[in-house]
Amino acid sequence: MKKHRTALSAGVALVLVFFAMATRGELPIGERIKEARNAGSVTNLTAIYDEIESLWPENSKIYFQNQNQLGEALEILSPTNSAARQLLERQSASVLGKPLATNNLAADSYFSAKEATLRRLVRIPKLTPALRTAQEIATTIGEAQAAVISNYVPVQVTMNVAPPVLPTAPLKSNQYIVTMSGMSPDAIEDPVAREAYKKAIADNELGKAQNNLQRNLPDMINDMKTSFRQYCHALFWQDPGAKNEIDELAKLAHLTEKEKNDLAK
Amino acid sequence: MRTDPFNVTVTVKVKGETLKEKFKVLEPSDETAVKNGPDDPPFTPPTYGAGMHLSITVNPTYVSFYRVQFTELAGPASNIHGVFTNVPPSNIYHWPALTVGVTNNWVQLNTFNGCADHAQFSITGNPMYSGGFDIDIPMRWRIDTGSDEHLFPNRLQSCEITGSGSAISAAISKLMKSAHQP
Repeated sequence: MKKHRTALSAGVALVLVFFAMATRGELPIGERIKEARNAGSVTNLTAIYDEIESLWPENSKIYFQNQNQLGEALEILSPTNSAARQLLERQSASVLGKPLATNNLAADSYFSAKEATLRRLVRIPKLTPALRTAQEIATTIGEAQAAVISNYVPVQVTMNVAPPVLPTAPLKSNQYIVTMSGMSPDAIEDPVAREAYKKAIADNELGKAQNNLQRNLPDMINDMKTSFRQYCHALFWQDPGAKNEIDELAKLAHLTEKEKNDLAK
Repeated sequence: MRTDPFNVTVTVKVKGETLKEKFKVLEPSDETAVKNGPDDPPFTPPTYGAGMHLSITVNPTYVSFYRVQFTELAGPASNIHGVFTNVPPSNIYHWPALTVGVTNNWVQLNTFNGCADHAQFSITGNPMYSGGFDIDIPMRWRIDTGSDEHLFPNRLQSCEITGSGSAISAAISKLMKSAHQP
């Protein structure tokens, strides 16, 4: 019965959370970003920014996903709104200042958010000094190159994970227990079995994240290198003195000698 | 980013020559599955159940859905009958989104428009007798993180126990494939 109560209470709790969110007008962060953007409310976007910042580092994956959306919204508003532009500057610096999480679950989101932020800085030239932007791009390319696993063999992952066989404790009279792949761990009464199931799910999620990361990195690196080369060409043309930094930029980005020479052309 | 079907023309200009190529952008239409490897081994009484690994392919296969992700939405069982009525319906609930907390169970398709699934159920209890349930699983797809979600045909999963006493067998079916024990 305890298991029944646990599953039921989990369901009731979920309904109550959604009900409470709906009655208090608390939409998910992504929806609130859209609303604030449509209303042109930088005050609301600032409050959302603070809320997203509080997600770091415990919820780093969600942190980067939400920062991505917030950056998009601020970029739309910034041409005509100086407060949005200032917040975008703050937000960009914050995202770029975050270290690569040791938690691999967030690595894909980390690189996506950094790449999107850097592209934004390139599109909005005066948001940060050009040489600093070049250094940020080079650093991210370098980090991405270091994260690539050569000859990576994808981990086998599944949409649904099957729970361990139950029960580990003797059944009570007239007690029946059902399990199925994709069930909630909260519906498993036995703590040992529940933890084993949670670990299996976590391993599956880690495999998915790792597969996605290794699949996406090469394309991302190539795209960023192309943008980086174009950006450096423009930078060196406008500011020939910046060319003195080429060795440092190439080192940060882990460029080959040929790639470095291409930068200088 | 557009995710609906539409026509696009790619124009290439080289040395004064212009080449135009028309493409039709299509969205995922349906899916097929094959069993991948042996069925799950039999459970030990008083636990009965069945399971299988599936390799799923999203159609049409002449379109690359390399950047498409799929997810199964949560939902209750239906057609609960027989021995499964001993368990509250809230305990026969497919809740994949909750299994990973605040994130979800989006799965990225591979370069062959494929992904894998493990379909399994079990029931433990005494006495054991016939019964079953279905789960009509709503599906969604999207392009990468953050894009709009789109509808996709539901997946029907059926779980069934037949027989009584020492002659119990279990079967599960999903995406037109099935596994039986024994």
